[in-house]
Amino acid sequence: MKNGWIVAAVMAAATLLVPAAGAQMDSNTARTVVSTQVYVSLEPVPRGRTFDVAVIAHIKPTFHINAHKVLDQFLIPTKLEGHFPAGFRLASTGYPPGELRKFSFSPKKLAVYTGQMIVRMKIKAASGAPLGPSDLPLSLHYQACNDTYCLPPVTVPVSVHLTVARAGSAAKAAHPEIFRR
Amino acid sequence: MSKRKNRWLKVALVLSLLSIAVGCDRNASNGSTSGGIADLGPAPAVSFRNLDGQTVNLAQYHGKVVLVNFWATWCEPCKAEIPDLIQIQKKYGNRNFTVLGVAMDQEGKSVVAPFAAKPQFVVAGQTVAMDYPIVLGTDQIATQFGGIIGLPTSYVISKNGQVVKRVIGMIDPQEIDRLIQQLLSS
Repeated sequence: MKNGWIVAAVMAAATLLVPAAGAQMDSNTARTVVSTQVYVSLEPVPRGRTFDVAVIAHIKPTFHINAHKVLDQFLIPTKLEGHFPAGFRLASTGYPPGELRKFSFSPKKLAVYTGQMIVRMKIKAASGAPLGPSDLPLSLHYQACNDTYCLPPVTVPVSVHLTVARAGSAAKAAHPEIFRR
Repeated sequence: MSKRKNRWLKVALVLSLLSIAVGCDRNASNGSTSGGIADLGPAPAVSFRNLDGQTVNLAQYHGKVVLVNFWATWCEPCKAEIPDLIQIQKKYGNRNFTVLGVAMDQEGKSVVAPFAAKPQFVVAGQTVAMDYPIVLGTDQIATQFGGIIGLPTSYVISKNGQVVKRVIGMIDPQEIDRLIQQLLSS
């Protein structure tokens, strides 16, 4: 089309004039502030063994999320929860300490996470854990702000993919750079 | 040569259209035009529930200048500007003006009511509670306002029900004060 690209450009300009009919309160944007990567410390996971899961949360520049231990009862803490199928039991969850930062809108420091943070879970595969591939569904709950405004609290799914082997099977230590002792 | 000239004309046309679009959008967001009061369209016909469970229609404020402020108890910048909103309410509350605080806490009244009632905001040397009407917001109400990007977000509505300003983030209290004075005297 001879002038098709002009039409396309005009339409693109027109979209800037149309008010953003975004999500009611922008939960969609809130969900994109944090992206996650998940690592499992053993490959495979033998039945009866305790293994570690690391969820690395990458927080978009200019945004922060509240630390797990908040300094105000009204603030929404970051929380990772597991909804484990039969055969798996959560032993513990460890959160990094928050960074104390002062923001222009607050007279007091807030405990927050910025950049990258890692939540670690210790999980036990029971003697009867299903053999083969398993998915452990987790959910990461957080509330993000930048220097100007706050996005609504959201819960995003995080999936742990692992393989369960028979008890006593050889298991390779995976991702030592994340799980080094 | 004419092909090149054509190409440059096309580029110029697109750039002009884009700059008009960006300029208009920025003005719409800020609600200001040079020298005048913007018109962002009629305020939506929304109904809220107040903390007593009663229905509050935005239309019942027709004839008043209204500063609709979307906020939440978990929002630090929202809480930081509450003293300014209390101050504005004290200054203009008896002159056909009101702040209307729309709380977006999912827990609703159970969290918002005790928060609003607690004297915790320092205004003119005194520790006071929120002194303007508080209602409960919902995602549907946010949609009716065109979608809320984040909190706080405020809308200034003129006496005849037109939205004249939208602020994403904390308000500039002096700028809002000037606008309110202008609207009250118009």
